[in-house]
Amino acid sequence: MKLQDYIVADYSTKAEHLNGFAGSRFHALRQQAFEQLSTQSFPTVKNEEWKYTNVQALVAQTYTTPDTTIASVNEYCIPDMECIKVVFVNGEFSATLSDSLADIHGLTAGSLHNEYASNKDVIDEKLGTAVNTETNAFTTANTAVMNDGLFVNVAKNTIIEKPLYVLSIVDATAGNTLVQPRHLLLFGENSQATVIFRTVTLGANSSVTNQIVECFAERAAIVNCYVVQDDSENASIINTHNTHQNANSVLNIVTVSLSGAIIRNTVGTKLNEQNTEAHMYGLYVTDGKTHVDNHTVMDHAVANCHSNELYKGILDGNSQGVFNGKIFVREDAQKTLAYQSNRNILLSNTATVNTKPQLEIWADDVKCSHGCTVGQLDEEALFYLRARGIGERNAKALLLTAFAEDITEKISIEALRNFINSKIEQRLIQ
Amino acid sequence: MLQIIGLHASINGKEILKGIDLTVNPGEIHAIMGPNGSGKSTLASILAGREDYEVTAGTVLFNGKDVFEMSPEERSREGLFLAFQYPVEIPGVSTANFLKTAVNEVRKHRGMEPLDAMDFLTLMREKAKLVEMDSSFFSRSLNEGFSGGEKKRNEIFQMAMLEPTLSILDETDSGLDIDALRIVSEGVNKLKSSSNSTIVITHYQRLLNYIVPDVVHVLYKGRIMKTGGKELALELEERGYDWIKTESEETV
Ligand SMILES: Nc1ncnc2c1ncn2[C@@H]1O[C@H](COP(=O)(O)OP(=O)(O)OP(=O)(O)O)[C@@H](O)[C@H]1O
Ligand SMILES: [Mg+2]
Repeated sequence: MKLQDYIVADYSTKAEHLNGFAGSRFHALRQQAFEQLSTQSFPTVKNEEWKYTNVQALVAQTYTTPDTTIASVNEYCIPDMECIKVVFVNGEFSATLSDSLADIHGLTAGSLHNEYASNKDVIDEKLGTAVNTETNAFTTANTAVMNDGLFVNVAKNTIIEKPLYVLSIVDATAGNTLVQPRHLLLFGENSQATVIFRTVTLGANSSVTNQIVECFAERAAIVNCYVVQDDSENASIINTHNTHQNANSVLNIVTVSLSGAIIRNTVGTKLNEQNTEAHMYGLYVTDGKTHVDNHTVMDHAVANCHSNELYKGILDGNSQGVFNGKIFVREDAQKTLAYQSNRNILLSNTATVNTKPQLEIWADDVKCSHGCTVGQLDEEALFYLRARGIGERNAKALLLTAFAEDITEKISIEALRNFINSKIEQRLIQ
Repeated sequence: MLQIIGLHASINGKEILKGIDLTVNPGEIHAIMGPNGSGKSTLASILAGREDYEVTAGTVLFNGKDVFEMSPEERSREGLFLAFQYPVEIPGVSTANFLKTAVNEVRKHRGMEPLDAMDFLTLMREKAKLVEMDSSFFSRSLNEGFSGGEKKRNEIFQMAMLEPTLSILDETDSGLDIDALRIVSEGVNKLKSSSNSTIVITHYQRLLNYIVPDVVHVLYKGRIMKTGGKELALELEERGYDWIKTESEETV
């Protein structure tokens, strides 16, 4: 079945199994999205927001529902990384593959569906409020027929030391597979936590992960989200990751894209109260036919907030990069500091980048800057290194690794940083 | 050691070197002087392997091997070293990491085992002393934010680390204060032996008081117009280049 038909069929199957959900706001939200979806179509390149990212192949291909058993996820873990594993297989929570989420002081966590019964009020209050189903059929589709996802509620004044490692395994061995994870993360006042997202596709068929992450950072919360996209060459990701930030909260989000088919990240944050900080970083190191599109939205609603955004790309082969960075500085957002930069290095004549900063500023007393560059490797620097005996390939790798480290150094977990750096190094030295 | 025979080179169709002949024997120090734009850095860059220039005629042999058959890294591993007139800033690559890679590539070429982290650090400390460079530079990004003089010192430090047989110092003295000039020159002199050679490109006799040349050449408009002993440098200091320009016009 093609994407839209598959979603319709999926909805009817899911509607039959709504034990505990019938009549809830959760159910209403999905029903409403489902109705809305019939009036929407998936975006085409005529849509300004999808101008450079053509998803028609994903819309037109047929999907089947896999039946998967997985004995162990050891090989999909980050070496030497201490973490709390939360594993989803084809979008559904696997308690057996996951670490225990109970008994972690200050943490309420589990699968969104399982946790609904005991956290109904807060889930009903937040779910769906950080995304907009009006403009994007992918968001609507996810809302209508979402699979499961991680629900996290970090209690006030709590630091969760170990990162949560959200591993989504998608089985595309028997046919093309669609999964629609839906994560809801609530970070209480003055809390701190780190969440890592990664998708691993099995098999050679096409997988499409249409994922939504909604984050809410209460006053003075410190939130770290690291998104690792190193999936197989037929794996596509439509990733929508939105945050709402209250006063004095800090968001650090790093999205690293290394491989895959079509990757579209829409990462946004709303700085809703004063003295909020948002740091948004992205790195894409691509080759082959990988297409990476990063759309970001930094929405300064109030005064005295600070946002900083740096996206860097190294593109080889026929890979394509897209960057669109929106910064909104609303009328009340005086004394805003907002910086944005996108820098790209093209390693081949056939790699391309389309980059566009988009600043909309209604306040007058603000400091905003943006810049984008697309260039080749610095020939002067390359010659300097070679003139010291360093072989061309190593010299390039040294320069490019240094370029990439501006982003990877923002990842606070050493094991994850090493994992990503070594993947990049392997790629560059090959 | 080095033989340059009838070297012509141009960039973007403009001829810069118009027939250079130069032989440097082991143990010799040659100075190349000449007015701005005469082609000194061009010559140095071509020897080091910069690819922007088109060599239109001539041969260059380094230890008997045709350098135009060698990549820049091969030349370096074979013992050729260029101290850049304008060292490049390389953000994100630490001086230590860079030098470790370079030293080990050169060692590999010479059939030596790579140095481990400890031995490497010891070597860096020892060589840094030679140019009185503080070890705090090791962890800093290569040349990034270094002052003009620090960059030049760093070039000689790298030279000390790589132990070349032929060093070309392109205006290493410019931008150095008097003390630094002395320190850097003493460093170069300590690295000097009867088996390695140096080409010093400079505008100032001052440097040649420290690094005493065996031969002085004057490069003008892409040609070596005059060659003499160290007293030629003194004469240039006194008289400038005009008399050479006049002589050259007379010969043309
Ligand atoms: N990329 C280029 N395009 C055109 N001309 C060039 C280029 N590079 C060098 N030149 C020219 O070649 C000539 C020689 O330059 P070079 O740098 O070798 O001089 P130099 O003798 O080292 O001078 P200085 O004493 O000022 O360092 C100059 O006229 C310079 O403008
Ligand atoms: Mg010069």
